[in-house]
Amino acid sequence: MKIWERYGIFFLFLVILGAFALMIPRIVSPNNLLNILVQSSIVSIAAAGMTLAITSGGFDLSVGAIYALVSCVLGKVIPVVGLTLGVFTALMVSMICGVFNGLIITKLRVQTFVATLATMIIFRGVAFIYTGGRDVELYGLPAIKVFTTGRFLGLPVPLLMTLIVFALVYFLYHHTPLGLHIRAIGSNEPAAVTSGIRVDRIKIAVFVFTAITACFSGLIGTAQLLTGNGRLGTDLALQAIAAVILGGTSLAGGRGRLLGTLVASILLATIGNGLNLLGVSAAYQDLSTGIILIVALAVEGLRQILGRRESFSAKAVAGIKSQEASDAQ
Amino acid sequence: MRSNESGRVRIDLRDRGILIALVLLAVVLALINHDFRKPVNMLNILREASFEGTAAVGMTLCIISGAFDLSIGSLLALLGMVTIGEMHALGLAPTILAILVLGFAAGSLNGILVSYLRIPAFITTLGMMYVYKALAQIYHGGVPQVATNAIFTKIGSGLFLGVPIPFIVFATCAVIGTVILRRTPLGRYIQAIGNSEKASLVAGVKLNRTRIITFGLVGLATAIAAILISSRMWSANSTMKSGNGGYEFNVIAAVVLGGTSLAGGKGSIFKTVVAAVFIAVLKNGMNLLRIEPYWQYVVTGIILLIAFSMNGLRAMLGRILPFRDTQRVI
Amino acid sequence: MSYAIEIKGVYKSFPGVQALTDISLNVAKGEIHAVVGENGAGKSTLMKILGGLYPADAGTILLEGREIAFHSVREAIAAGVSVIYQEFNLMPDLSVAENILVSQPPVYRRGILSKRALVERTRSLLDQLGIALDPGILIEELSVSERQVVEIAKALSFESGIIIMDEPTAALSSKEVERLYAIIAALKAKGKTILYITHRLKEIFDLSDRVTVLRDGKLVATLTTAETDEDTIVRHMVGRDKASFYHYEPAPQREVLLELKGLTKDGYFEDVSFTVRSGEILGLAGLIGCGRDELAKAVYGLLAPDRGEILISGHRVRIRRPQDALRHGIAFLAEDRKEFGIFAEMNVKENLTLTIINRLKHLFGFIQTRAEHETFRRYVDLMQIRCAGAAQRVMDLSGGNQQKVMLGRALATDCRVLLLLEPTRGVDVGAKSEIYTLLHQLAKKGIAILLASSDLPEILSVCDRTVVLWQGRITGRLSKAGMDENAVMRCATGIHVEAAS
Repeated sequence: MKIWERYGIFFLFLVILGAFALMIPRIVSPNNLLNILVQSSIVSIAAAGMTLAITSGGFDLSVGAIYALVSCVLGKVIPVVGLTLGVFTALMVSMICGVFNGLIITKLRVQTFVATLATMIIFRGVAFIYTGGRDVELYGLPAIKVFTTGRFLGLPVPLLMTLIVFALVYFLYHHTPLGLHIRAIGSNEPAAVTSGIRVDRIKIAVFVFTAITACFSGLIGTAQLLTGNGRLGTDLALQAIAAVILGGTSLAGGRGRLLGTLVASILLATIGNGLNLLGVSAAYQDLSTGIILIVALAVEGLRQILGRRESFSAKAVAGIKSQEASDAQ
Repeated sequence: MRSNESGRVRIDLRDRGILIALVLLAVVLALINHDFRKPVNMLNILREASFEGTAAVGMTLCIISGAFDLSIGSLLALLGMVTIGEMHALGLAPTILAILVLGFAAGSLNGILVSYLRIPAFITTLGMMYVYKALAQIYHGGVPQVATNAIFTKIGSGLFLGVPIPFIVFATCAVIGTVILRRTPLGRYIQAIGNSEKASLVAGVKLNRTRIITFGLVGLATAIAAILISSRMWSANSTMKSGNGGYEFNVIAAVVLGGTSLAGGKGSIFKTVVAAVFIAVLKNGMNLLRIEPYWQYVVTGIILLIAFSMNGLRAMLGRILPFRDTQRVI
Repeated sequence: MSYAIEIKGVYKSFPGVQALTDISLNVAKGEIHAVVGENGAGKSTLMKILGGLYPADAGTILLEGREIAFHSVREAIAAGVSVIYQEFNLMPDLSVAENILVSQPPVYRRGILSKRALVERTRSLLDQLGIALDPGILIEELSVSERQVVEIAKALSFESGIIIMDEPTAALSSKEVERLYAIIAALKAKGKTILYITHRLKEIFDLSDRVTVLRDGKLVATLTTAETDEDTIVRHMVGRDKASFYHYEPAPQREVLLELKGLTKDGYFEDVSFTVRSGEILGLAGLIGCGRDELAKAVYGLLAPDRGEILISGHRVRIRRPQDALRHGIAFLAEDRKEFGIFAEMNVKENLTLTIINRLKHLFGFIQTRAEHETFRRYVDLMQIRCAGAAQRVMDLSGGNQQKVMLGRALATDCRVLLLLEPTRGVDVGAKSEIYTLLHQLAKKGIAILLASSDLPEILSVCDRTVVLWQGRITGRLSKAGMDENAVMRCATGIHVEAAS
């Protein structure tokens, strides 16, 4: 049954792609496939950062707001200092947001859910104030389109960015002590603390990562729309979380499936693309996202129930003696 | 409120925190802005508070039981559209009844998925959020529904004995919710599950049934809110109330602001009501003071942040200043 | 001569309980020192102080002549002390190698994790222990015994000079115990000092150089293992002044209310059969891990037995969840009230009435305030619960009173069979005797009581009969006359095993 956990999302992807291919053969044309990959890049990149966050036992609801803030910063700063410095500024701003998130959660001990909820509101508010509530236009700055229609080494830039981000996160996750510690914290935080891991610092780093990925998503999205305003990206956080969960990462933490996240994100984009080609309303895309999310986890849940004879609670109740039991109390 | 242990005093202050904040805010605003003081304005505030407050009553019960529901925003939109959409054919009363039943059923579905399929509430309600969102766009092609029933539209905007009808509904829901929480076995079970699922199991509480009903009540409260809001707006569409972070987040924020912890186990509907009114007063005040809408956004966020970090702030202060701390839990 | 550990005059108390009184003890370097005592004797507390979990109230502790006062587990580890608890401090989603080296991950330059070094170092550590374990396996796939090996390897990786093990064999099979012996021998060969908490006398004589016996928080004796024997140790463990404040009086015993036939749950208990009559208090004795608690939980529906039958008043019943048990008139008191008993934030009245709240309703479903309050009053009086009123939060009560609330909740169900697990754990002396008197009154009323406890005096003074378990099997059935500490201990430690009936 662990097969589902490891490979389930791949099977699902192939099945769905296959189903669409039967109905519209041109969906598997190289051109269209490339299209799908590019379309999925915004959510994919944000989902990469979110995978780290969920692996560490938390999550970040404010990525959509950071995305919007980035679009505003780009729109206002690039005309003044040019593309490179503009992108750099946006990156700095997003990192500040990440540090802010991290500090609130680690130093003020606010729960992640309400903390990132509040910062979501604050960041968006800042974006609104910064632009005076108006849209900022980037039509006059064709340079930014490199992030959407540009090509580098024959590949579309968004796709390249996705691959680079995932490669970097993968490297971080599997080949650095930081990645090890992130997984440790997500797996058993009290044990991580006892082991001397600097939990607070790492959590802040994780939020900086989610902010940076939100920034990259924002680069692509802003280039596509050529507009920046505070209303963008309202769906981003939940879509990213959905992709991460579908990809097999557990909400409980400790176990991240980066490849799964990527595939899940592409899967969701495929569904959108397919439904589009079929001429079906976008609403069904949401419907399928929701149903897939629930069904995928229902299978996981059923697996847990059937796999054990006792009820979930009995296992917890009857297990090896807890610390308190051996206390001299 | 003094008692034996000195720690008690601080706890009570914290318990009344949101009420004090509300009173302070209202008094300050009343003093500096004469429009605020007008009775019409006060009634407006109460009316506005009701739209999120009603759903917050249900959400409070859910959060006390240790879960939360992210799907209510989309459910709201869907139910709002169906209400108006079907009213032509079915008439006012049957439609309203049907919507209430539908809301309860939708909520119960969440409960069933969480209880029997063991899917965490976060993901179940996230998934259902997408489903309802889709259904709202599919229903009549996602076209905004416009209300034509004269009586219906009075509900949201009308007064009854001088009090805005939505607020009467809100207050009634709050009272019923409190009665359920404090005076029925179901309410006890909800608190018990939030306190300790394991202890509840041992004590013989019917976990699944309680959870399903709790989620059902959330759906019911959302349905009521949907009726109120679509009546007030004379219309309903698939993205109503999705601004400012989303309806579900605003509702959850109101509950947490009122002091109910996301960890579950304790909470008070009264305090949720106070928090909902507080948020409405804040918005109203900022409007009257001609604070720009976008600054309002930031101010709201910062105030929420401060409120949520009360525990943490107090802990930080506690380390700097020597308070006698009677709350040592081993 | 410089000792590895010197403990002088250590005291430690918790609210309501004096856990350690004037403990003084020396452990030489390279020694394997066993620490024995009944539950509640203070062994775990002492180890936790050494391990940095909490500080002593008074006294000095010296490690290799240096005085120490740990404020955190990290400090203890840095000073060379590792404790291996019964509940491991491991990360289930990480591999063996990752768990062992998580705080000191080997890196190439520029911060890249060296997986090869990770595996190599892990292998070398495991080799030193003489164990072959795949460094890449995830912890969650390991058995308890294998996880224990990982914890020990961790201690080794810290180069801890002092390794403390808390009841390490509680959950191990005999083969695994053998393996642990080999590991300990390897550790000793490396000059490590080992403190070994156990109940199992056999292990004391197999492993230790010296043994310290604790009783009621005091140090009773430190003996050289080679110069003593089992009976002496048992005597030190249990001998106490017979200040029994409870006067035993058997209640008239009537029909059999509860009967177990061949109840088995693989891995926990096997072929357990006994009866409990109305008016009888049956003791269920044994050491940690003997299957006693799991057995009671199976009767209450928290655990599903693999084979066997449960009969209530002669009728076979199927109990799959607590609700079924309650319906058949069985009530239950969990051994860990913090986790499975109290609703901390709710008040006394609510805690008392929760299980039966459904019976206290009006027609329309509302709770009858008066009936509820009467229930509250009745049980507060009956159990003599000391609280500041119905509205006081249960978490503010003392341990003894909390336990009484739990008991009250169980009794409020008008049960016919009462299952109690460690009913007086963490309860002060006065409340204990009140609870015993109460149990006796209940027995007189005709309730059948099963009392599972590791508190020997409790079993001996309160129970009419005792069934003793060891490693999941019944090793002794003792009548009142035959019940004395030595007899129970001998059955509980597996020295004496009754002939199969």
